[in-house]
Amino acid sequence: MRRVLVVIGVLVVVFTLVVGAAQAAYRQLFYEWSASGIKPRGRLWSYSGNYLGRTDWNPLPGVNVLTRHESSVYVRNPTSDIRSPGTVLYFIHDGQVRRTVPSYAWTMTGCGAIYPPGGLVFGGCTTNSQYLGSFDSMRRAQDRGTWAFFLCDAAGCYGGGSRDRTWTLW
Amino acid sequence: MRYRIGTIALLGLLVLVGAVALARSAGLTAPFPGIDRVESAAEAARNGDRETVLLVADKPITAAELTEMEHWVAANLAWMGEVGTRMAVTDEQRAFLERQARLIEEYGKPTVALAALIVDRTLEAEAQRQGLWPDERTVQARVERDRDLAATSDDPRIKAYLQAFGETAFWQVHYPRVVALEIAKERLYQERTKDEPDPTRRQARWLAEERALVLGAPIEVVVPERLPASIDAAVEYLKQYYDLQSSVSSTG
Repeated sequence: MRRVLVVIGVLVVVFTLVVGAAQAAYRQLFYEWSASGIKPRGRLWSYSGNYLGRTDWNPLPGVNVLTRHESSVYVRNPTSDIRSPGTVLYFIHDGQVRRTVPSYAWTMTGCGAIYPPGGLVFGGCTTNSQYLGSFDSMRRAQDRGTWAFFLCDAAGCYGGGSRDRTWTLW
Repeated sequence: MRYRIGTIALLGLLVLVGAVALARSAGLTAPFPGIDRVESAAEAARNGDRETVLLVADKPITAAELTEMEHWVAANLAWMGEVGTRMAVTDEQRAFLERQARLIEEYGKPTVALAALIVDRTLEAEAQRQGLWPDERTVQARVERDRDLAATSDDPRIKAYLQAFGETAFWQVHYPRVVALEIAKERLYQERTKDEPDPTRRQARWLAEERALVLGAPIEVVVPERLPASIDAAVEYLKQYYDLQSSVSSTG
């Protein structure tokens, strides 16, 4: 019995140390972005927001389970084009589009919170299914963010995107 | 010798000027696809013929508006054609844009321009009927906000449109009318969908509401010979357009 308790105690200590180290080792990035353009008949559209990305990584090489990347975007859409069916946001990881979020789904995504149109948050966890297959704690990688807006109506689609931003995850 | 060098330099300069002019006319130096069409749209909006060609829900559509909208449709087509190479798009997004572009090309730009204005006027009439039209103060506040936005935007289409239209006329005369309709549409959307909390169902509800309003709007042709396309074709395009939008909305 005593031996079992000692083993459990050692395991708890090791686990706590690993988790503590993983939580302590992180990098994060914050920036603001914006995009604007013109619709038929000269109406303007605009989106702006903040990006926040944070990577907590596991110090043990090859052990991916505790390493994760989370990112969220706060979106403002003062011109209220959010209902346009073509409006999307992209997350690009390591050169590939890993997440495409249409406007009507912005309130339903993994790590995001729910806000009314005009101020929305969506987010994605690298360790969730959206990013699985691309995430590797052994390999340094870069994310590229493009906040792209396809606005469409009966006269066709127009739109644009903010400038690309690239950041090193870990 | 000096004369010969001068002649060669002059010829070279002429060739250069000609090449730049040719490239510009072909849109090769355009920094954004369809920007020449955006400029033409502004010119049509400012200087076009104000004769009423048809009435939609008792709201007039002028010859100038039909011409302007046709330029916008052309600009949008140019943008949609190039967007895959300029922006990150997924296969689904590209397929959606291609379907919409094909639909526009199938019906033709004049038909699509007419259809887009039928939508505009229908929603305008419905918003006014429901007392949702914004007051002058609200409109002016939006004009000021968007004026600040335009000043900081680096979108070349905004600059091109404003330059071709003339800034003073745009902000003082044209934009208040445009933005009033935009606010009225927003209010109509809120009014018709406010009791639906789910965003997917809300979007579907709005598309269904808009479709019913637009396809039920009374249309009276005032000057048939100036109509750029048939009303039947425009209505048929709108049915296809709403089908396409609804399929995107329901599948995500």
